[in-house]
Amino acid sequence: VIDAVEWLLHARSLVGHDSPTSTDTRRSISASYYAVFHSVSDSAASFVAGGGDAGQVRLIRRSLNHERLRLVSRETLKHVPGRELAPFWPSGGFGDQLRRLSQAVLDLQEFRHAADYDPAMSVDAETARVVNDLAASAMEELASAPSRERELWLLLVLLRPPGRA
Amino acid sequence: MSHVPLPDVEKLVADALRDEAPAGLIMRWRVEEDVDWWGEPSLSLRLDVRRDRSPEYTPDFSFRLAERVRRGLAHAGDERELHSFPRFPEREAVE
Repeated sequence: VIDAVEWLLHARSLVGHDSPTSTDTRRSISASYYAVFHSVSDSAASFVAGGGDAGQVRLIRRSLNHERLRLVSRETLKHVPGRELAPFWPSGGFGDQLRRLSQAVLDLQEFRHAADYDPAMSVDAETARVVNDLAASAMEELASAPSRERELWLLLVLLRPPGRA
Repeated sequence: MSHVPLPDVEKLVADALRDEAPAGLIMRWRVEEDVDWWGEPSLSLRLDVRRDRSPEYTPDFSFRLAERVRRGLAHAGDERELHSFPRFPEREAVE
């Protein structure tokens, strides 16, 4: 089992003491992103394979990837989506919850990449705590989004319509 | 994709911060033309935030800031994302 809430608690625990190391702060930021990633993946699996067996749930959860999540998040924030997704887009676009989630995904991906790979990144525990809060907020936005809207968004994240390289 | 010149981006950010940031929360900032992890042009906003007021740097504030700048950029056909990177320096270090 991969529990998104556990990832968030782990992220908080890494910087929730007096003297976190730079490794603690980096891992905390990285785990914050993964809390959101697994939250999206869990939500997608519940929607698509809610009544299914462990194999079906695993298939859905393994189908989520970072690049597709980024693409749909970027499109969600635009006023007019790109050609690939436009035919499936809700009239009027996605609402505030999924827009906030999308912004958080994009920001958390940038934070996570820097924390995991960029030796020049300077990050203190306070920054990591802000990133923890951003992840917590993103998970709440996903949970509170209107269900039909959330379901469409999750399908767009999981599925790739034909016609795109 | 057309890119808004940096001084105009800075004006957008300054206006957004003036309207959206709690007074005195941001000590200094700078915006940089950047490339994101995926290799696409982006904008990075480096913010020095008052450490003693860090709870005021909320996800909601960060979102409203990005929305304001995104709208301004989109109006000019610029689709770059703005990513905010807050830091919380000790006061002595920035005075």
